[in-house]
Amino acid sequence: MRSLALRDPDLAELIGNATRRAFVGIVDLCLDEQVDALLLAGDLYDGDQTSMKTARFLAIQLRRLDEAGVRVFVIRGNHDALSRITKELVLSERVKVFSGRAEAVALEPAAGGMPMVVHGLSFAQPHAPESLLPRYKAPVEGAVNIGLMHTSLGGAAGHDPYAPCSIADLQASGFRYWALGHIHRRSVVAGDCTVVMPGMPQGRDVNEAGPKSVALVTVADDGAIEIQERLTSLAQFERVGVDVTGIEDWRDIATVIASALERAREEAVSEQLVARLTLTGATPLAWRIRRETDLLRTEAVDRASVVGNCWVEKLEIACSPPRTDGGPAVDPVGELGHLIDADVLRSDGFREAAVLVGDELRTQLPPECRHILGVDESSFAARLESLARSGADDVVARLHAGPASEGD
Amino acid sequence: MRLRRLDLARYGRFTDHTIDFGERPEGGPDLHIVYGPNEAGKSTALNAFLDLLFGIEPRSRYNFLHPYPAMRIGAALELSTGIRELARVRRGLVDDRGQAIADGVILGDLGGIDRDAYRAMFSLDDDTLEAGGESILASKGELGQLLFSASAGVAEMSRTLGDLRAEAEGFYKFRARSGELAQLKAELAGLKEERDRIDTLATEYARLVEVCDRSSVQYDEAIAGRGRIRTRMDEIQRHLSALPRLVALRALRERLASLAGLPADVPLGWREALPGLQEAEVSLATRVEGIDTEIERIAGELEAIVPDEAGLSVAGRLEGLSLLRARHETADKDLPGRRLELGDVGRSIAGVLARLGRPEEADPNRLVLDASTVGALRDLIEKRSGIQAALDAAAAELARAQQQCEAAEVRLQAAAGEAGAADGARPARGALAGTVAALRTADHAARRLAAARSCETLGENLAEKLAALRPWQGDAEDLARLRVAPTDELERIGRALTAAAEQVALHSGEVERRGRDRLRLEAEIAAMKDVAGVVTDGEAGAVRAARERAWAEHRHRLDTASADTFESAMRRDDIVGTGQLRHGKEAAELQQALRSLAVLDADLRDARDRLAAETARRQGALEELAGLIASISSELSGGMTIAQLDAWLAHRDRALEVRTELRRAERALRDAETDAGTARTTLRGALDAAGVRYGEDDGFEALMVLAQQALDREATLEGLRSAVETGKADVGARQQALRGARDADGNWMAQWVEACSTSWLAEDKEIPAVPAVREVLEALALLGPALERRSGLVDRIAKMEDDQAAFAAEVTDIASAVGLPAEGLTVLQLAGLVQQRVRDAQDAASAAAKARAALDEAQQRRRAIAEELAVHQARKAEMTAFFGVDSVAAVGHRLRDVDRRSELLEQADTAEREIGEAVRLDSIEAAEAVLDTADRSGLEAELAELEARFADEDQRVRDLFAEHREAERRVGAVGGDDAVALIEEKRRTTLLEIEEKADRYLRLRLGVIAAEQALRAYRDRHRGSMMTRASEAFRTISRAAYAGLDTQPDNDREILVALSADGGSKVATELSKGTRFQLYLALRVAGYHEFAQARRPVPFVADDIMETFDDFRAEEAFRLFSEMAAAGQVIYLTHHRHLCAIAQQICPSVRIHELERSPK
Repeated sequence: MRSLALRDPDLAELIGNATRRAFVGIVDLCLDEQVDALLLAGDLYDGDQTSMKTARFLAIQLRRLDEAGVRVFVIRGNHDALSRITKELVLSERVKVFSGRAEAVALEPAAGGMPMVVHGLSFAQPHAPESLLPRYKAPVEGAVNIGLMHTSLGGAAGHDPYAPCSIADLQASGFRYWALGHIHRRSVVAGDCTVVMPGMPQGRDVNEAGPKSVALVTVADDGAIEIQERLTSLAQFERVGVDVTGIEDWRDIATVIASALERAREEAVSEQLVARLTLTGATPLAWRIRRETDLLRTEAVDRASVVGNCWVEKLEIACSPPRTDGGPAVDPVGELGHLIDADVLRSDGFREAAVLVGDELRTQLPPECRHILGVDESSFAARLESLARSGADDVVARLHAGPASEGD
Repeated sequence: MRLRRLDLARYGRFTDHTIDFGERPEGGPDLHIVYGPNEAGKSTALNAFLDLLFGIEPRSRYNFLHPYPAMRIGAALELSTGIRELARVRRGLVDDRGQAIADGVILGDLGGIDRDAYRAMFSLDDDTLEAGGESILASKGELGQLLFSASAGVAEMSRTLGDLRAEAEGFYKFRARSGELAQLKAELAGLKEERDRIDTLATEYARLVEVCDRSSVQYDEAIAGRGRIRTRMDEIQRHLSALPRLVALRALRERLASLAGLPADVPLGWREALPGLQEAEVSLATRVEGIDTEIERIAGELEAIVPDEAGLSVAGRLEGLSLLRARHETADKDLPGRRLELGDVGRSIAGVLARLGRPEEADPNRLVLDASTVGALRDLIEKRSGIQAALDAAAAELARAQQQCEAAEVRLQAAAGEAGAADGARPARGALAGTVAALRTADHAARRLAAARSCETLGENLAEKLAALRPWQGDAEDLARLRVAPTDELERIGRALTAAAEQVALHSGEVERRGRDRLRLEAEIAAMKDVAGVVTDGEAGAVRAARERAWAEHRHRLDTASADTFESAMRRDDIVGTGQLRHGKEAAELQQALRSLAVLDADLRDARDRLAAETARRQGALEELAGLIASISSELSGGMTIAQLDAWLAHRDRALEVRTELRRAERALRDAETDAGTARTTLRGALDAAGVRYGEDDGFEALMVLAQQALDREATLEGLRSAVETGKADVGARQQALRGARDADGNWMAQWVEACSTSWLAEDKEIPAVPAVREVLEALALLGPALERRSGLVDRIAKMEDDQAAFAAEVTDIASAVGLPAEGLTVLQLAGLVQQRVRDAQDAASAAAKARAALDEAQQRRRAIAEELAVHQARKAEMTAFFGVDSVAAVGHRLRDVDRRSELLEQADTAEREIGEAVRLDSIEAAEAVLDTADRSGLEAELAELEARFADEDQRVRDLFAEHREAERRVGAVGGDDAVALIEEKRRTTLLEIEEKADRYLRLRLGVIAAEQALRAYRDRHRGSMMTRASEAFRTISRAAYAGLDTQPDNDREILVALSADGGSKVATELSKGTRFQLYLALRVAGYHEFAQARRPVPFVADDIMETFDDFRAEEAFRLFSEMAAAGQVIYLTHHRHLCAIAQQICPSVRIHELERSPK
């Protein structure tokens, strides 16, 4: 997981390694529901994952399924295409890891049910620019054909395509059911051919917000498909907006934060809620909020602990002072702010100075963090500008305090 | 905005305190000093002003006297929209009618400045001055910061920026090794190290598995080798241990041979039965002998007993005899006593008869009276005493009642004589009682008293109210008659006056402002015109027209003169053209200014017109008011203001109210007096009718007393009359009771005679008296029982004599039946002999029966023992025959030999089996052969060698085992635990932390850079005007010790320098501390002017900043404030009296407001 909320040791204790726990939860679900098979559509782990502990963990969990007679079908996706660790493991006969060549495996049909065939094809390389669909075996006549595929479907702008193909192609394939992997958001297309992208079982950061789940699929004796969504996420991330418009008393801010958290907590279905708070709206306290963000964050963390099973990973400030009718503020601090906005930030002199500061810091950051300064020149400049803008607001907020409010 | 008046209605220690700053003085500076000694509330007043503008602070320190909800600050504020009466209370801003109004009314006028900014920008005190001086030092004279600080009042600017930079550098600082970033990177390295330590990579894992497999194979091989050695060692040891066993086997075999010839086995159970058999043989012999002796003894006893048949035959009659004997004995004892008793009874009967006076009575039974006669007599005797008592009591009570009646009559006559009143007046006295009761509740006296007091008080009050109405004079009735204009009329005029006054003020301000603007514009135009070459378009057009005219002339004339004229015109045009080209901008500005001037003139005229119109309206309203006042009364002054008139009318209303009350009180007094007269007349009438005499002058109260006394007397007489009547009634009742008692006595006597005549009591000549009859009855009660007892005793004595005769006859009869002689014996002796004879006969018979039963039983037991003996003999014969011996003891010896042989056989068998096992051969013969040929010492040598080899091999196995375990452990240790995953998660969290902090670092760094650059821009924008003003102010405040201020570049900055009067210059940081204060003050003054010029000025408040100034400096400071006061309102708070004098000297128009010390 990637969240600053994990700096809190209590939360780390509760949801540390949530992805592993989610996998254990899936295995528990398989055992409780006495399923026939578990389908894993790729990217079980990252390719840079070389720890045998991870492999052993997987093996232990798969053994639990094996002991209960549950079959497991695994394909490799772009992330674990070249993974070495699976190779070192001895898996039971009930676990089928598909190779880079298409295969079809028949499942023992239940008494009176239709025969079922599972088709699979693993990524042999981390990249798969072409559709893999044509390489799958033809559907077996008279059986329920189930496909297991790792694909980015139509893909998203700015992301590499992985085994791209369209829903229409999949539906025309003659398969009864497609179990897909790769995209982290759940989507289901029902019909004669049901296509399910179940998403991931546990969100890893706030960009993967909301509850996460797996699909529990029932194939009826006549081949009809029924899908249930089952919650697996131990913790869910949510962006929680807090409107502070018109609030004039400092204590009321904590109150609206608390009620926003309570509301979010009520709506969240996972056991733990990790919230990213964003304060918005126009309030006379805007400068003070900006000045005393740390204090407010502490307050928010406190309120979250009162709400229970609720955590604050970050507090973002996007509020502004109310506009007065008399045009731009007439005090010198206001004028200074206006000067920064109108003149300084656009000036070449400032940009040069900013680039120097940014370049210097970049050399000091660990390589994994350097992306925060953008990946190319234009994103670097844009990033610096937005940082400067909010930095200027911070400085103006501090000047707004004035001598009278010192230490207040 | 301007503060006209500040009302400290309820705030801090103030209650209804007002500071009136008045209207802005025309032309002069708007400077105010608020003077108050320490603790008088200067800072409270300052804070109240801020609270008025921005709201009362929720945690105000000024609620110690007036609680928070009651706090109120009022003010008259001059806003851009006109003057407003406002008040600040807890819930917000209200107008003079208490209606809530929006804060925007004030805030709009302030242009969005908040409380903190206001404090910073428009107030100044010792602390801010000091901090300002420090900030000059801290900014190192950087001009942008200084100008900005002076405008914004932010003295801490450079420190704030420094703090922010330091905060950023806490994360990362150029070339510094410490800092949060370094620390976080170290944490990352630590996490990586820990991960490397506990994690196993896939390649390493494969190697571990291989090592594990190899060690497993080696271990298995070593275990097999060690097992082979162990087997051979065991074999040798077995052979060695079997050799002694063989020797023992052979000894056993020899002992067995000696026991040959015994029966193979004995029948089952014999061993167990043998001891019992031996015992039975002895006991059977003993028992046979004992029983024979017993039989012989019993037979002898039986023969010795002789039976008595005659004795037994009479045994049945003996029971009847003993019954008769008991009766005989009882009679013997009772008879003498009974006979004596009979004699006694006869004597007591004779006594009774004597008491009755009939000693010769032949049949005493005749004298006993029957129960009904006795009952009737007793009843009459009891009643006699009651009747006699009733008769006596009735007579006594009658006498007493007659006595009482007479006494009451005597008292009544005495009382009636004393009162002398005739009975005829009684009804009139009843009427008198009713009247008195009715009049007792009358309240006219109390009402009269209260009404009299009210009249007096109200009269005085009315006089006072009338006096308050001066100069008008007259009494209350005159006042009531005055004609007063209706209220709405008055209000209308009041509103018209207020509206007109506001409009006049507004328009006169307008005229003044536009006049000022016009003067300024004219000056500007004049200045522009002074600049050489600036010409207006009109002038340029005139020159061009002159040139054209000259050209036309020249063309027509073409002579030298015209040429010269044209040339000169052309040159002028050129000059104007060139000038226009060079000063085009200025010319345009001049045009613009001229146009503005024209517009301004028009505005000014318009404003003056309006002012004149409003002034006229105001005059009209004033005249109307004067008319109104005159219409009320000629005595009132025509110059009264509307407020005074209102007050006068209010006084009049109150006077009229008092007058109405007075009238009401007088009416009440009259009513009370009328009621009193009526009551007295009524009472006198009632007294006359009742015949009570009274004085003609007696008042109401005295009459009431007389009436009451007459009523009391009447009540006493009434009581006595009723006592006489009661007495008479009593006497009648008692006479009746006496007659009843006498009748009862006559009845009783008749009944008594009748009762006596039915019995022998009347046989004598006269009826006996009651006492005599009572005695006779008592004696008769004794006679009846005595007669009954005598007849009972005679009967009992006869029966007893019969019993004795019957007993003697029976005894004699039995004795003759058994042949006992009766001669010479008493009956009782003979009876004793008979009984003894019968008992002896019965004893002999029972002894014989017992002996016969014992003999039968003994013979029975003798037969049983004989049977048992026969069985025993048969068993014994069987055993002795089997072993061929003659006694049971011999049988026992044989049985023990058999047992010993089977034990030996078993031992031999065990030895053979053990030997076979040791040698691992099935047949004992083969085993014996092997052992007989074994080489014992050779085997022992081999064993020693093998033991050494085994130890080596065993060690090797242990080593291999440990190795294998280790390999397995390492494979197993890889585990599926989440340690590495947790470290990875921590690493990601740390990276996120770095990202977040890097973000913050950049924000702060860039923000500070932007602020610094913005300060430069700010400097450029405000440098000109502010530097000029600040320079002047600095010269003033330093009393010309410094000529002014200048700037000089310093790297990429521009710094402030102070120019000393002698031509030298000092950078700001070189100035003394005091001079730095002055410089800061000068900059603040410039900042205020800058603000006031660009926007509407707001009040500037300074709080005793001249503590450290000498009088000269203070003068100069006031001079600066006075200049500021020309632009806006300046309020100076101080507790120094001498500063007031200095201020008055510098600025004569200064207004001084005094705060009193706390009223405590």
